[in-house]
Amino acid sequence: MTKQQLLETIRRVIKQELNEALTPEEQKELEELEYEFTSDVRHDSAISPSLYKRYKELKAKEAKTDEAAAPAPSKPKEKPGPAVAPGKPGEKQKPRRPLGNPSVKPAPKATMSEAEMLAKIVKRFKSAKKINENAEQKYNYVKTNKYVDGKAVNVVGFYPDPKGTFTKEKANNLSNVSKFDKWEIKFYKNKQEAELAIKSKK
Amino acid sequence: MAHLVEVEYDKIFSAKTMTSLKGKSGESLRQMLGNKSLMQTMMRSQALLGEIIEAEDGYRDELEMVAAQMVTDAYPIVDYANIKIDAKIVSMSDLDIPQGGNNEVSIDNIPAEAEKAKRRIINGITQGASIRGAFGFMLFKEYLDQINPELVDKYGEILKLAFGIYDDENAIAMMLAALAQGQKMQGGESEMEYDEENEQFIIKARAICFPMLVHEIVKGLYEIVGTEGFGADKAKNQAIVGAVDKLSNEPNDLRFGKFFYDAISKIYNDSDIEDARVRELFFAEVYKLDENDFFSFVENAVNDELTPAQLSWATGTMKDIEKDLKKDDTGLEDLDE
Repeated sequence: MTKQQLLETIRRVIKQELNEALTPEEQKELEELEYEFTSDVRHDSAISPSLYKRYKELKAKEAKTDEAAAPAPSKPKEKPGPAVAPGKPGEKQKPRRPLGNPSVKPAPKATMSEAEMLAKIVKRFKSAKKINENAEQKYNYVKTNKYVDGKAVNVVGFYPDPKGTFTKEKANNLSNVSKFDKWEIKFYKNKQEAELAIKSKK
Repeated sequence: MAHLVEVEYDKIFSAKTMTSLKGKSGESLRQMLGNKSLMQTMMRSQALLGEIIEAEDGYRDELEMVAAQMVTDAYPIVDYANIKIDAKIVSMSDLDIPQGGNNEVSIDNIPAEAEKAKRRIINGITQGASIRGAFGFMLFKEYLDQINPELVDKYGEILKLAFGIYDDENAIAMMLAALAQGQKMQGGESEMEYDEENEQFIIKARAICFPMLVHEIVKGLYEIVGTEGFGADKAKNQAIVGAVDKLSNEPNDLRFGKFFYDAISKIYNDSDIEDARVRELFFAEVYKLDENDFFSFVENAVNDELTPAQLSWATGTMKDIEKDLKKDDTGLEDLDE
């Protein structure tokens, strides 16, 4: 529906609401006047200005009534889709609010069965004692430096892995670890493994 | 390559917000499971699931279509965004439960903590939306009654049991005892795909019964909405996905995410906007906020403490969306002139 069609529909509805249509009495009056004005036996002198003015009024009202009675433009579909772009019949115009970002593929999400959840909980319980034991333990690390594209990279190996609770921010807070442009943090089971891995990066 | 560490909700939100979330979770637990113990919950779930699967036998094809239609009716954004739904009811053995994200990413793409935290919250909202949406099967009560008049009640009960369990902090100890019995319960999975040729998103949902299928389809829909939280850098996006989209994160996403969803939905529900498409598009706009604004908005929404500026932004954004949708529907360019 174009804006013009919409406006016409609105006007039509308003006219109908205002009851602008000719009443049956007015319709009869108009027919009589028309007969009078078009009759072969009439004389011009017999047409009074007031009658002619009344005739014009009724004709104008009739014209409006006819216009109002014209078929309304088809209603928009109940669920209108995106409008068709002009000049491209059949091709859907892209919505103003497209949804979704194709630049990412999220991992599938499952609703876990309780058995899986239980397995995870058992694992958590089994490791809980270990975690508690480690809670008071200070984090150990070995580090080395390397340069990638002219930027210093601080390679830090923490051990033992405290269940992945170490973050770059925490590492930054360690006073004796320099802040570099980039970080490469890995966790190892023990010092020996960490040192071996770090040395191999030099 | 580097191992990435977890982003937990208690590191993202303030203690006050976490207390509020845990309080809501406790209330949810009472509503969903009542006085049932974990063992009772699991045994009842298993029995109920058997009854549902039996009742659905012979109707699965129809139910798959009903599930897709139901979501399309309840979420008109599906039509607007031209999203395709591929939904199937399958047996448990046909479910290929994914392990989630990849822990290993290139050092050049290590996501910032804030980016991971944002993704985590969005994942929570996705799970929350799918829990709330799963109960939409009531829309088709009349149809479902024709299959079996007891189904609707059973659907309601199984969903409460299946999701209520995620509110039970103390369930851990009791689950240990149940593990020995090797009990299994229903599951499902969903993912979204982008068909580049047709430029169309596809929701691929699989579940072993109708209400779980509805849940998975809604999850797929909100997964698409959730992609709005990413930028244009594919490698960076996948690094965030690899670090955050993990099965091990899902229990707490399910536990707290429904309250994030409720809080943001409330903003839409309280507005005078009736076009339901605005809801998902508003979520998309929230996801596009930069990390700091996003955290502040979600946290304040959860605590029902949005600032006047946040409320004003939300109202204005929803009105703008509504205006654009009207333009799309009518083809009129200058409705706002």
